[in-house]
Amino acid sequence: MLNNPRGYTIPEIPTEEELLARAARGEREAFSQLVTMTRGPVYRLALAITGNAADAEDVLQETYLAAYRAAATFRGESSTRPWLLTIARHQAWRVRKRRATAGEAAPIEDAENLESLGVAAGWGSANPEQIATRAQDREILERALERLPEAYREIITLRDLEGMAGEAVAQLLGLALPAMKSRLHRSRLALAACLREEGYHA
Amino acid sequence: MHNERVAGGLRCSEVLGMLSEYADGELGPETRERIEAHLAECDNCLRFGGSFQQLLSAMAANRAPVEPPTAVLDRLALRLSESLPEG
Repeated sequence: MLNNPRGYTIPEIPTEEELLARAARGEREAFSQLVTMTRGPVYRLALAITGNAADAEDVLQETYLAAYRAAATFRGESSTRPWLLTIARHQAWRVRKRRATAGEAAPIEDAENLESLGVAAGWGSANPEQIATRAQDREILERALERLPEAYREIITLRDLEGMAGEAVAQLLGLALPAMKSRLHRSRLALAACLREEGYHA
Repeated sequence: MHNERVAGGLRCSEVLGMLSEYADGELGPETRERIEAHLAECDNCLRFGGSFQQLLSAMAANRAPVEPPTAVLDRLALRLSESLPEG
């Protein structure tokens, strides 16, 4: 316990790393705390990749089961949050691929060149401000995100919604940093293009 | 089609390609200056670039944690208590 000068004792909040270490020793309460601290980001990533709540819920459960079993083998190579999200990501893509219909190609790096993506996003248009205005509306933003391919939604979730650093995102996705940046930029332009299209369906 | 201009020594398409890095503060000072010189002369890129940055800001403002629905949390707790050893 920390004491502050006014005489209150302030309980130290355990780090995720400490909780994981205690969970590895079988402390279920520590694991429950870790779940409470991390379930939001895990769920959001699962939703981004699977695209539906039922699958995201499966992924949520499987992630924490796998994490508990693997806790003893965690050697602290990365910090706990990326480690957990790596497990979540693996589970989510496994579920997603099972659902992929036959013949559904999943090209991540589209042949579409950056300039046509830019045009779709409003580059050179009379009203490029539209994407910024629409993005302020949470519901419109959500709908636009839902229309993105999973790989684009995944990277935007990690970088822009979870606010993870670029290097951490690259590592999580198994990409070199320039490749991550390239995919991120495409994803953001694709999102902008979806935001522009939202107006026609409202 | 978008007019490809050269301003500040950069083509519009080059500026388009660098907008994320620019917005994320990942460019060196020289490149930043060239982009800013382009934006000073090119209204198309200035307006789109500004809008693009506002999109990123809007997402940053939306970073409140997304908690799973209560029913989902209840089922998670149940599954974990059933599947994991007591400790």
